Amino acid sequence: MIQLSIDGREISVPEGTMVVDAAAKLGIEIPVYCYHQALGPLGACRICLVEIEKMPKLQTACTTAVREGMVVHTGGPAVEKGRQGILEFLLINHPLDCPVCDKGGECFLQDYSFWYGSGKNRFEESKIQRQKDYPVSDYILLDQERCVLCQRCIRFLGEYVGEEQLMLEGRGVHTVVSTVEGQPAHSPYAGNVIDLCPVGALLSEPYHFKARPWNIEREETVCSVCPVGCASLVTGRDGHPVRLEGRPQPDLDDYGFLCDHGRFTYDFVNHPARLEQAFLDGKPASASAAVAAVGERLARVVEKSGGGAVAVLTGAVHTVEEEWALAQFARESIGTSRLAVLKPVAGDLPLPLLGTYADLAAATGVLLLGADPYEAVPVMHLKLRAARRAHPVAVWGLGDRVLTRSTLPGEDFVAEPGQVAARLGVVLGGEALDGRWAELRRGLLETERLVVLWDGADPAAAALLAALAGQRGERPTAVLPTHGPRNWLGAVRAGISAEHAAAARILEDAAEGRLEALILLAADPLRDFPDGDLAARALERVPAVYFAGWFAPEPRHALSAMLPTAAWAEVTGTYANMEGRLQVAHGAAAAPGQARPVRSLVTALARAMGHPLRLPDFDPFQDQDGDRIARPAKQPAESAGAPARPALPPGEWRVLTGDMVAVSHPPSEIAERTREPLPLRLHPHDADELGLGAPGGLIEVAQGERRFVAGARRDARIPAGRVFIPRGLADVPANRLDHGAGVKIALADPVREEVAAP
Amino acid sequence: MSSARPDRHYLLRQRDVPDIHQLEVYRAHGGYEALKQALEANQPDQLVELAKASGLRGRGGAGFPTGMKWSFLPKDGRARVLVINADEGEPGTFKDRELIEGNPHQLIEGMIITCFAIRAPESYVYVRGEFLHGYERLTAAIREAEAAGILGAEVMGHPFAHRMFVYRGAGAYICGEETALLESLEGKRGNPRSKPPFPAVAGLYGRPTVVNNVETIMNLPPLVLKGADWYRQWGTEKSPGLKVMSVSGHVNRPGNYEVPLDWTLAELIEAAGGVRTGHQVKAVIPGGSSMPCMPASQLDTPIDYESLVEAGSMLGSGGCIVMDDSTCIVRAVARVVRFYRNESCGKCTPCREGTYWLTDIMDRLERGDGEMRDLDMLLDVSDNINGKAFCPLGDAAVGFLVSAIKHFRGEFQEHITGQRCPLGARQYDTAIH
Amino acid sequence: MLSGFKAIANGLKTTLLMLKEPRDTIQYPEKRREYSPRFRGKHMLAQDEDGHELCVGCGLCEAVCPAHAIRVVAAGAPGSRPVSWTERYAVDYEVDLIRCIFCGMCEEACPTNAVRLTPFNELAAYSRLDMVADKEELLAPPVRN
Repeated sequence: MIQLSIDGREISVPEGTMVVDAAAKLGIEIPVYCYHQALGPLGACRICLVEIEKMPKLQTACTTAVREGMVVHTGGPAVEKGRQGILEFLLINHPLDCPVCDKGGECFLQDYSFWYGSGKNRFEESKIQRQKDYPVSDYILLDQERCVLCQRCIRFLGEYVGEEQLMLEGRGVHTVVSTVEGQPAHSPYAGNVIDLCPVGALLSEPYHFKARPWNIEREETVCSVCPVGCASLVTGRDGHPVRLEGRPQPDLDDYGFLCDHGRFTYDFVNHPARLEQAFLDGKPASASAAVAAVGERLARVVEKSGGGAVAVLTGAVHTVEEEWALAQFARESIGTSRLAVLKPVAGDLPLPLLGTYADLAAATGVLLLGADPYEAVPVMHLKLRAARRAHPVAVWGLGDRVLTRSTLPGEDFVAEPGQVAARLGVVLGGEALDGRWAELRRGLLETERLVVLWDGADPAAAALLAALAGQRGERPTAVLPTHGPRNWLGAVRAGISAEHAAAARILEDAAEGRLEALILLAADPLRDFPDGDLAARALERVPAVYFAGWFAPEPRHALSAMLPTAAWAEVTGTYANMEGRLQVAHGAAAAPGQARPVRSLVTALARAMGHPLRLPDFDPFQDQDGDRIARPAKQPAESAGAPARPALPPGEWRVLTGDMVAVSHPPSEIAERTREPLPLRLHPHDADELGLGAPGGLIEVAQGERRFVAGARRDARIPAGRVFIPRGLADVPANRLDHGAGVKIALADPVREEVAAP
Repeated sequence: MSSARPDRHYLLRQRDVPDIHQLEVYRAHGGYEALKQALEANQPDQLVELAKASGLRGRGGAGFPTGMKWSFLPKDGRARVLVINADEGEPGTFKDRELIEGNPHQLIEGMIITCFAIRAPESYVYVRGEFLHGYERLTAAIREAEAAGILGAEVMGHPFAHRMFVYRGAGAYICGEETALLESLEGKRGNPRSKPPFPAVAGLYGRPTVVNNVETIMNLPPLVLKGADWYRQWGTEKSPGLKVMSVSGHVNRPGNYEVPLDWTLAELIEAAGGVRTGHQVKAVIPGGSSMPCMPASQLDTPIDYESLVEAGSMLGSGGCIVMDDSTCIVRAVARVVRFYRNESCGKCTPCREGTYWLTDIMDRLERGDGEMRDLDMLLDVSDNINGKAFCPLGDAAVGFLVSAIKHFRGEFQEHITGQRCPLGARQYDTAIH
Repeated sequence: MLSGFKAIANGLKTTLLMLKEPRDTIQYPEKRREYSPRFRGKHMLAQDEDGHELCVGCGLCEAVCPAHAIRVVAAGAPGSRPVSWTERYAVDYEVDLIRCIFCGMCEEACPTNAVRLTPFNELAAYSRLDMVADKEELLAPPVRN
């Protein structure tokens, strides 16, 4: 630790700390533009000038590391004049169009000019004209005139993300930020430059001219799109969410970076497909009539066949409190124990192994077990990269396709489709292994702190993960499940089983006619349940399906009633992210139409059933460990293998599937503009043989009588002979295909497709 | 007090020996003897000691003691690298250009000696892009040296292996700044890097790096042959040796002059044939356009590093610009300030915006549209740049301006009150520059 | 009786004397008073000489209004911006003249000098809704009718 004095106050900080951070610890704010803790020092803007005794010139606090006995003054005439000079320089070529600028009112150029500037303008010459409202990407506008050239955007994309898509162009006073060779900055992390920009140069296109800081509600929330649960701020205006921003959490070492899939899909709550109106037997109904009818029918079923004839499946996207209210309703009012979370994967995480983001930041080895974080949980990819920037981290990919990538290099081990767990079993087994696989075994067992990112697809992997943790003994092993739904761990906290078997039993019961009614809370079994055929049989057989949620599943005629519920940003409540951390999210918008919070909906239903529900107090943080959900103690591990797949006849393709947040995020009109038109993936050689050009085109996927057409892209990360179909894709439902058998692939019939196209 | 000029050239040897850029001519006149001697002695550390003992200082501008720079390299076993800064962009300086074009083998010899001293298996020369002739001469000389076994897997039979690379700059003044040069050499945008880490710790491609000027390194062969005492016969205690001074401007014979470092400015101007006939010296910039100017009254100042600093200027890279009484100092300042505006890399605020502003004010002054308060504003803006920019370019941009206002304030005021140049100088065409 | 007559005469005397004095009232609406140009009456949104709206929809008037009488919705100026002098304009601008206290802070806050309070003060209407001046109404300077 280094002892120094800033403005007469003593502080001791670790070696290597910059003066600006040391001052921040004392609560002394030194203005900065170019400096950002995630990016490190640059020293370009010069606004952070401070006086350090025994140094002849003013020093920049962001590039000067602390030294023992240093005496720093962050004020005084010299510092004030220096800052005034810098601000004056920054403003000479600035258009001063604050009334027009979206950033007006939350702009550091305004704030610092107000706090530290001279308040006078001595510059009389003409300002340089530059490009305004230049689209850097589909979501980002660049105003070069307002730019202070702090380079945060360039360095974030180039160094932190590793995708160099912005650069400096020109020299001297003609320097501007621009895209590389005019190509749009299409990185899924590009939206963060809007948050990073200290001035009004990089603006959000969807938020352009939408609101001003004084006519909005800006509430702390968490992103609702994937289980990473990024801390964010939601901006509401006139009852609608109009913006999502990252929210740094210094105590968790989180800089608040989001991915664009999360940042630009907040408008799903106002999407035209949103359920805002209650429907009864396919016809619009008033909210009270629909609730009364559903309650009455449920009461009749319970009276006739008992509560056990009713089952409840939840899609686990509502808050923990709402899931808990649902569970109370199921148990108390209906009297059923058939209650489960609908997960898109069959694997069940051994909860004692559940890790944290802090584990990931400290990891020495990371195993991507079937999970491609860049596509499934993009911010985990950034967190991994941040860990690698801090210290060496070995990365292994073990899946049925390549899981590492150029921005996250590592060793890849590609298993046969469906054999990922079996391969892991072999690696952990006692047999002798050859070269690379032996390396993997040694790495997994000997790395100091191991974190596994598991996609949950292969149920057999669960026991193996427990076995791996057992074999590693004292060395810590943590697993982070990358699969959805968003709040499944929150539902677990609310006392709802998230085991695959529980949901499967409910659907089997329904398919075999043992159920009279099925209640779906934001659950879409047909789209999300791993065995789509079972889900289809179940929905066909069960006499009544009552749906409550945000987006009603297809086919809607199968639903006896649809009841709208309030969504994210419309209620204040708690979510649990993939590390089991409970996060409070506040509402900033009004629920549209008849949508109401689940808690109010289930109490109304209970009253209509004639069993008024008295919900006792519930605090999700009650059984806290810090603020994480309770986890059982370690269970004894047993190892298991997966059955081998039969060989395929020639000409047949193996189906691979995985999470892709670009496909699975809720419907959004903003994100529609970057929707992947070619979500399927093929190896380039296979594509050549099919005659599929670059970058891709429409293909037909056939299995038995079933035929689906969708766009496919060439991707060298998919092994030859396999086709990757993301989960939850409406065009090609991967859960309706038998992954054990092969599929046939052909170019889509161009004539038919042309006719189909408008 | 001034020491006598040597009877022959030690750096500008092409003045004495025609065609010395050819290997055989260079060898016939004692070339590569110093390298041979250094390799035979086989004591690299002694070479560093020699450089320290001679008091040789960097000739690129900062005047940092060369031997000390070498000894800053960390001893952690990483491969080191020598980078020669031949990006001579300073207006008024043209010594490295003549040295590379006329005497490339002495540079190569000096580089190998340096690399042997600091144990660097590779060295790079970053040549200013406009020096096409010098680049070709240097490349040809390296080919010759490689063919003759002076460079390569063995150096003159010694197992010390050495490879040498030459790169051409792309026309940016800022790439003469050592860290910007390293960025440019790595293929990036030529912006200065943050120090620390200094190049000695993490330089080219993150390796321990020594960046030296062409002329500095060319001093080594004679130094190795003749020793530190021989070198110290010229100059002062703290600034020993010979220096190639580029004399330009209103002198009768502009050019490079290899002179001892204890000469005065007047002696140097005399050596360059004196000031233009019929005119008097008005001002002298002793070290290239980045340095403050000195009025005629200070002409008896010796040109060693310390004396010039005492007189309010700096030796810099030795580009002595002589201005006689026909010079409009306002126009000269406007021209120099515009140069720095054009050459600012744009990384830091004060240099990028400040030089733009200064240029606008100077243009207005020169046009005759200036006001009296502009003079104080110029000084205030200069003060906001000086010492606050990221790299020395910001300080360089205002050095001449501030000294000119200090020494020639009256002339600035005449421009303002008379609304025209009292000397009748026409405003230069800003569309061209 | 006499004292009663005296009292009436006394009262009438004041009245009759006042008949000679200049009148303080006017025959409104046939005659109207001239107000000081600084009088703060109904708002208007100014345009420049080319007919471009000066208002950029920054919302500062909305923020500063103590009576919450103003509502501004901004948008990008359409097409080659024929309506606005810059890239942003107010697509919707409403002043609730019932709520308005005519303090003039909106005028003071306006960075583009677009909001101006005219001396016009005849604000009667038959419905409350008619008292909410929309953008179209504000763009045309108020006239008497």
